[in-house]
Amino acid sequence: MKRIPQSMALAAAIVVGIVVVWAANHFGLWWVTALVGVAIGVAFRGTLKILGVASLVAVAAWGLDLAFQSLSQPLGAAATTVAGIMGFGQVGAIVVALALVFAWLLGAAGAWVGAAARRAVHTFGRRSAPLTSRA
Amino acid sequence: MKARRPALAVLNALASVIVLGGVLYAGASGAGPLPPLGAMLNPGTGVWTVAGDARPPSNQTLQLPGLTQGVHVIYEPNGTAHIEAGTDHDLFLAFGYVHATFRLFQMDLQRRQAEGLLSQIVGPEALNSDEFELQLGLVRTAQAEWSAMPANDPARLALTAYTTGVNAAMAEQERTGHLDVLFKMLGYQPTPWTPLDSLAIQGIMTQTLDFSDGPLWYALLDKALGYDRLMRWLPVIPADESIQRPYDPGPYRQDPAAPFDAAPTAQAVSPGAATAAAALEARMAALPPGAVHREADSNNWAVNGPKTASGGALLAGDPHLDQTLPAIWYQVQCDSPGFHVAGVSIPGIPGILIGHNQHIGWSLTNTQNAATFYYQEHTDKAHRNQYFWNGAWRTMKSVQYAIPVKHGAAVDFTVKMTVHGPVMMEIGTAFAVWWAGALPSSDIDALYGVNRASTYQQFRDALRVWHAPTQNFVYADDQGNIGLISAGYFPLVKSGQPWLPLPGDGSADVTGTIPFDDLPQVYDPPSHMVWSANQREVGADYPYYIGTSLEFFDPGYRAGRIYQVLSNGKNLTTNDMERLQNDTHDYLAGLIVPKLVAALQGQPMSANEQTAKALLGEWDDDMQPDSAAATVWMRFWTQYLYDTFNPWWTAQKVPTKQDPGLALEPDKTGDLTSPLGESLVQWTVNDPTAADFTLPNGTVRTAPEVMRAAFAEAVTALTKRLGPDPKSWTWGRVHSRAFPNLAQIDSLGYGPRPAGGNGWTVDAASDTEFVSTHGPSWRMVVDWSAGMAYGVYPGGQSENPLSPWYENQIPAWWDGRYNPMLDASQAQSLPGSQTWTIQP
Repeated sequence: MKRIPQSMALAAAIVVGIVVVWAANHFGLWWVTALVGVAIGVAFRGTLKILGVASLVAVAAWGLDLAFQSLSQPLGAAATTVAGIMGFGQVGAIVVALALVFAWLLGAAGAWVGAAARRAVHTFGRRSAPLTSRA
Repeated sequence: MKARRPALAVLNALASVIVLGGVLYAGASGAGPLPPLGAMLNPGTGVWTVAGDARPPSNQTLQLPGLTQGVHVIYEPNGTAHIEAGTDHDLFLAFGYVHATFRLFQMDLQRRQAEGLLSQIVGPEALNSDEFELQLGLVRTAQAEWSAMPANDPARLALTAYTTGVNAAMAEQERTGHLDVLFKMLGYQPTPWTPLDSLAIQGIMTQTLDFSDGPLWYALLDKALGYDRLMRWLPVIPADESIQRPYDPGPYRQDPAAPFDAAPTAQAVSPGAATAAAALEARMAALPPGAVHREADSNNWAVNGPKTASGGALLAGDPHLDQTLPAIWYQVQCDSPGFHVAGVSIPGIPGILIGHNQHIGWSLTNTQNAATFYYQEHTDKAHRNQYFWNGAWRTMKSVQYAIPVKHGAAVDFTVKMTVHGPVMMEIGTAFAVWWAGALPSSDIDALYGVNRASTYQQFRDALRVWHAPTQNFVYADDQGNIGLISAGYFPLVKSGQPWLPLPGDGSADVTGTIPFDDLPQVYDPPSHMVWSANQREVGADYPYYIGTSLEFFDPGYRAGRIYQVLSNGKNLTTNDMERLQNDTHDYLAGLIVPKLVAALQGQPMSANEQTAKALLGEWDDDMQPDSAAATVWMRFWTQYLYDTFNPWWTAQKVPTKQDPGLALEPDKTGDLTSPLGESLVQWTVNDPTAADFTLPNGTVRTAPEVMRAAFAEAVTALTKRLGPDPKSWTWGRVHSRAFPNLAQIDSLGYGPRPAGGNGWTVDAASDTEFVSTHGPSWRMVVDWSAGMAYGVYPGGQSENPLSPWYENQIPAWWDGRYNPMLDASQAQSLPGSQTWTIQP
């Protein structure tokens, strides 16, 4: 059986991850971002790669969704309103940044858990290459 | 190395799980001051939906389970809703759906305050409010009201249908992730609505208008100033009662009932009572705005016959309440087989409180009568949880509550009850409170009776079951008749001085209420005018006690101005009614400024004092924002009041630190400004050498002397604050209006903006520091000869801060403009109107 090239696998993971996170968010399932991160952590090797892909998926899924919505709705005004309620004055960018940072934390922390789980399994005797060797 | 690898792997896994757990916890529950970030910030169902939800409704078909037939809801471009239903049941179901669509967070917040559930969403800082409300017992009253409604009671049926509609909207918003932004930021979902919630909101409105702490203030001031001085300065009936302009001048009926003893002997306030009063006042000072009634609220009047240009009846009403965003009102017109009514409703309550139907119009002002009595229960250590009443020791009843607290354990709370009511304080002495608002009141049934009435007799009969809050209902109909009636409980006590804490031994218990037929009321008077503006409704010869000046009866300045304009008016039209509702002439200034100018005549003065005096001399008493004389007048008046009374406040140690509401300030109006000012006016106008001007050290003063000193101090203070040119001291530089957010979120409020008026002008701008947040919450004029009505309120129909309907009516309100109150067909023909077709 032919192996799927690593770059294609990564691209597919990014696209699928973004779609899954995007869709889940529209059902209120914000924590799926972390699950997708876990899946990426389990599926790929290389700490930086895993963190990079998971972060990209999380931030892109949340950020593109917001950007897309802002084409038809006053999302900037919504951010400003929320900033005002939170006591950040009229700086809506803080709320957008907070959303993206939170998405990144979910994705990255999920990926860390996935990678750590894979490493633990390997360390305790399962067949797998050392995670750090491909970094 | 090999030995370290497993340990590192485990540590790595553990650390990753802990970090992810922390992120998930912050996302689900929040962290410290941060709200739950996941639910709040996710792009699909987080706070961002506030943007899409801000869009006004469009023409669409909706499904609403529970309807028996189709319903149409037509929205005018300004947001005013028109509900057309084939049955009354469907009307109220759709009513609930519409209210919850536009005001669900407001409704939830109001019911939480009433039911002692604020701590559940904001944390322990709301415990004082929750405990207070559970003691006061709005929930217990709501339960009693609901239990008393028969199965076929119209109010019960309406509340049930309304509840279904609210819950349908709530479920839809939850299902689609479109709950209001504040639910998401506070991280909770509302629990299903029940009819008790609507009744609890009725209760919180009653509390705002009816629950007072006057006897506590009398107790504190009695201890500091002495009874004789106190009763001279804050009398039961003002010395110059003519300024009050009672709308019902008599003659009065007196039927068998316990009459008030007009000349009581002094009733001692025990040290324990004063201690308990101070402690209870400290608690009340920390309650949310509006929890204790301290304002005079609202105007209404009607004219007919020769007074009007058409010969028909004209009605005007503008209730004065806390002006918030979202506003207290939701404007709606309802059409069903049983109801053809338009006006304003309170989100959470199915009914039109102020408005008109096809034949009559009505509006409300607060009567201000005494409805809260404080009883000093006789307790001792030998009789734990007991009190002595009517010759025997009785066991207090107790009700247990568990108050849920955000991020904490529920707090157990016990409410003790005596025969008089809940025990509100047990420091010094046990204080129980008797409050008319705690008695079940069939307000919604009364309201439906009013909504359906077509004659004064039907209107009056409907109000027989309206008990609290006691309100002045003005009336005008399409046959040209007008009337005014003060409906509700006017409680009477067996003996004693009910403006002070009363003995709880049974000797001063409430015996009943003034009989309905003896209540203040007039119908088609020969003057062809009726008016109320929270002034004392009746003259001094009224045979029943209704309250003292500390119930915040308006001193009569608004009523005086209204009387002045209406009594001089001829050929009055809608425009005249609107002009009077927006009138900013200060009647008090008209009484006092001439005395001040006379006192200054021929006196040596600085250049600025001379200019300020000249400004006053030329002034027409209009508190316009561009008037410099208005600023001089108000600063003088607060200084004059301060210079007259504050030396005694200081010498006699009035406890202003424990109770800031009792404080007097030279540059601010306060809660005591109006009631003390009433006496000061009487002395200034009729008795300028009154002994009350004498200082505590015995220095004798007269009114002109105190006025001159106060004027000089005021001019000096204004020069320091506003600069050297008195002509630039415009009222708008120091006085403004603001409409704060209901949840007290600064960024969601409106203003402050420079504004005219003050607490005594018809266009009331009540304040404590010259930033008014209280005033006309709805202005309505009904012209029965033209068959037209007009209304406006400062706010908008939606609680969504991004909605074009959040504050869209403020500009019209601010400028004194009105919107025609259209019927459904007129609304539908407006360009830009939208219709929901709602199917079962």
